Amino acid sequence: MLRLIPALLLLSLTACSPDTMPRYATVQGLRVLGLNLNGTGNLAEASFNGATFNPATLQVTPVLSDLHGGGRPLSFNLYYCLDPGVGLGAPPTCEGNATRVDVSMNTSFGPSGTFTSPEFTGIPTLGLSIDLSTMPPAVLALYSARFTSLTSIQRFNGISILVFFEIFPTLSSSEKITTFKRLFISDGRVLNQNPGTGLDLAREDGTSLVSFPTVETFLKAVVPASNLETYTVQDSSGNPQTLTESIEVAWFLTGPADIECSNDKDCTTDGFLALSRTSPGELNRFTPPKVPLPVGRDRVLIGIVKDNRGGNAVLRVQAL
Amino acid sequence: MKSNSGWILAGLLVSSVSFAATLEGEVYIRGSRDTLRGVNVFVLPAKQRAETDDAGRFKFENIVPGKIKLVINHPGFIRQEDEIELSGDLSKIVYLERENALLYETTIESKDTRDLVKRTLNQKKAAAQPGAGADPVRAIQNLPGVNRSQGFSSQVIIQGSAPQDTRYTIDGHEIPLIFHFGGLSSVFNPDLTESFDFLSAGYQSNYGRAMGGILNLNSRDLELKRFKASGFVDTFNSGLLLETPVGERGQLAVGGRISYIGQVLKSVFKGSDNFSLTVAPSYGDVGLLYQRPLSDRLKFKFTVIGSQDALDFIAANPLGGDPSLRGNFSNQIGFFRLIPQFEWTHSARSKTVFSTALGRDFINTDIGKSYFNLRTIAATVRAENRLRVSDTFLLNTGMDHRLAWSDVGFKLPRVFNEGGLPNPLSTGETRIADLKNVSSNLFGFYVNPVWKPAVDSRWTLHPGLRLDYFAPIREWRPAPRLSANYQLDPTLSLIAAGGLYAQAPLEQQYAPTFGNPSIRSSSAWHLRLGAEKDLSASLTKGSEAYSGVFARLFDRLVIPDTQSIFSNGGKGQAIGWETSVTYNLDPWNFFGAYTLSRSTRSDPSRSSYLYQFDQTHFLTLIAGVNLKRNWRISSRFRYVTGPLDTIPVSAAGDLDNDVFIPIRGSLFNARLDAFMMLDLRIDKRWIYDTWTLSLYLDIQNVTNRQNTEGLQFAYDYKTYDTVKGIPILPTFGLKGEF
Repeated sequence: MLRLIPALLLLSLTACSPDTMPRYATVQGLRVLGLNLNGTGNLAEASFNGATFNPATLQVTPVLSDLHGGGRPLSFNLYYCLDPGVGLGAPPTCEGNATRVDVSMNTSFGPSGTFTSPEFTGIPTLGLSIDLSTMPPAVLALYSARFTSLTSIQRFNGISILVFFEIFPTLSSSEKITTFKRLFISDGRVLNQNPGTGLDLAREDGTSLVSFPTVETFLKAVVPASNLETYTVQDSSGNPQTLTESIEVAWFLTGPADIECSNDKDCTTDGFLALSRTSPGELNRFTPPKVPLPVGRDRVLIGIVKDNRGGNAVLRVQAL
Repeated sequence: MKSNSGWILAGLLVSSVSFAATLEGEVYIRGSRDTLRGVNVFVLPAKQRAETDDAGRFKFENIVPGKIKLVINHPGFIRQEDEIELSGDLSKIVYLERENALLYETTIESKDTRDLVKRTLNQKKAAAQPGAGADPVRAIQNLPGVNRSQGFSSQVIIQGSAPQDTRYTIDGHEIPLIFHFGGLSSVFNPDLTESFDFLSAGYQSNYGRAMGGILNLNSRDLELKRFKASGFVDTFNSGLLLETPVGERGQLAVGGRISYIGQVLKSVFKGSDNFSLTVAPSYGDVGLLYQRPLSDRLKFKFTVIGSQDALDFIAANPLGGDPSLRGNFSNQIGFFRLIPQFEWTHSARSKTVFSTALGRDFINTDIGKSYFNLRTIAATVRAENRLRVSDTFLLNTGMDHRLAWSDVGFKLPRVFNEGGLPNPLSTGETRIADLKNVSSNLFGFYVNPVWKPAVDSRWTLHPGLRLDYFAPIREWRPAPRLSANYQLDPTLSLIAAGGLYAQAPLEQQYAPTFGNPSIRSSSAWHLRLGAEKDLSASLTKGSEAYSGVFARLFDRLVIPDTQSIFSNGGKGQAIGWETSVTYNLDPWNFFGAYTLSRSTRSDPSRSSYLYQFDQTHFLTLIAGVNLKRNWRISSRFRYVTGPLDTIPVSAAGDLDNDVFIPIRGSLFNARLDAFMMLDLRIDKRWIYDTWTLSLYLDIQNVTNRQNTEGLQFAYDYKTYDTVKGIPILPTFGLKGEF
């Protein structure tokens, strides 16, 4: 163990992305930036007693971008399966998984909601949902068998269903982007309600950011402290442990088609954010672009507020 | 007339005696203040001779005053001639200078009668090798069979094994680390190190619990006649060593080193938005040796080693795009060992060597929101009885235990790394634990006899047996071993060695809250066949050649398992041919080593694939020349087959953690560019009467070649770039000794 830790630290030190690589926070190609699983009053969690789910229906809301796609036709796949053990290293896939259920496959969609021309970066109106009550009985039996085979501690703390959302150009399925989000099912946890209301993208002085900054500006996400829920898990002895949620903000900013230029403060067309993740209230320096934006599109700044239990809230600012 | 001549003769005698002078003095080794005994000192033209005593003193009486010449011609030293106008009694100090104060051969390897595969490297000569940066342990990279470790890695990988298959010991006692931060410096003061042993395939049963091999540092045997001190300053650290006799029979040496590499790194990252070093990385170590014979038959030696590394930094942006790698990072890691050693000679035929090491290990690590804290009380015990049963049979029996009790507290995600490609840390299942007094005791017993069929037999056989008990997993592992030596002629010997080598799983692999308690030990069969030729002639002292093949067959290797966390499903093999030549022809020294090898692994889900540390070709060439006025220039060239990496077939975005998880196809499917590096070293020593000043300039990668060390992937694994190795890296050092 003594040798493992320095190795981890060295791994961390050497894990800095070279400037020639695309940045996670810079939106350029076809992307899924977030996925909301919203039941009635809760997020990304459901109770399961081995037979029925509550809530059984969850709205599925993706945050998408196809910034430089020019409005090309897109399609998506939505399906789910029991987690094969991603936390232990199993590949994140439902391939060959008998618990897989297809919800909507090869479904094309057009611009809608905030996913519209010319930026094509935002939330389309898809009206998607997963209805767990319609799960085929044979598959439900597998979920029940797996769940009832767990210890009471594991059932209380929950296991996850992986909900996959894949997006691809309708005419080129080889460009497919595969993403997933966990839906926790348990028989004892109080379900997640957050991140809640009162969220805001603000400047350093607390005023709301309603338009794109034109000068260097320090930004922050405002999250009321009351939004932090407490929840209970059981430790390895079955004793309850009360934990408080932690919240972080993932930042996304549109960028030019040229990947290398997106990492260069002197040639990016959309500006530059110093940090890709912040805690609530933590300042993030925005450097305005020095190069004019191409005619015909706006810049988009997105902050996705995330709690550590799968809850998402999307904050968005678009240039006027 | 007769009486007159008698008076005249008497008068002459009286006059000559009354004008005779005494010349006395002391002979020292120039630059060291060490006296020389047994030196013949001549006075010309009187042709008188005196020999220095134990204190280096000489004395001439009744020398006729006038112009005389004092001549000293001692083997290994520059001839000394002093013309003296002697007008009366005179006391003179003479400093003799060694013929070559930079007497470095490229590599010295010596053989141990109890272990045919052991190679021992002299500390001073190893430290002076190009690329070693004055640290002898770093010179181990030059030996055949040692895989090249990448970049600033501090791992020693032996003959296609895994890094964790190498055990590090000091005077036979296990220590957790061999190198400080980044592998720049070993943890034990080089000036307190006599030599280090390298044990690879086929090593004998007095060591165990390592499928790869052993790297053992031997502390110095002190032979002090006076107080000595030395100090050094180099690019990364500086240190001080004091040595002194204590009482009539005791001897003490104590030294310490402290680094300032952190200040260098701090200036590199100054002004960075994303990364700030709050506490500069630093390391330091202390060492102490004390020895004293307790009686004619009982020797006592006490070795102390203490080492500490610290690093703190703040990463505002997630490192590698992984949100969990953000925030405060800190790591303090340290250990110390107190090692009393006793050597008791019962009789001419029997001896017992007993030693124990007591100490503590500690780690405090914070990685973003994760942490790991460890406090370990460690004790190792070694005892060996050597009994010469007959002229042809030596019986060695012993024990080799490692006991440890730990308090461990951690909140860590599970690290999944397959194919050298880790999953983002944030996607690993987080485990929290606070464990007290967890024992991980390992016991070893061995018999290691040496037998010759007859006194004049050309055969020497070493049939050994080791029995290990791994208490945490309650498993006994017997491990038979056998090595044999056949002396074909006085300069050529043939060697065969092999056996079974078992190794306990790592603590994190069997710990109930983090691993799989039902995991078992791993093992490997070793086989080595080789030939060794002594090339020494009168002008080529120390020249030799070795050539041999090795094979390792690994079984029950611990591998990650998505159901049981870890399993024993891994298998593997490593085969190779290694050869080395050392050739010394004053003032030139040459060393060449070449290893051809192949290392593979397999597991239930994958057929045989090349292992991460497979290096088909590894060539090392070293040449050095000793020049006049104590200058030396040496150079090293290395060529190694490029490292292996895994390019995933696809990746899936984990929207909870804002990372992509790679989906692997075949493992280690990308062979990167070959590694080539040329190092250059210049040494100079100034020798004054009572002290010396040494300077070295060691330039690694003198051509500034951009070697590829690995691949760095974009966040979605669709594109990648190469990670380059160390650029040109000069190390400069000064050392003063008196």
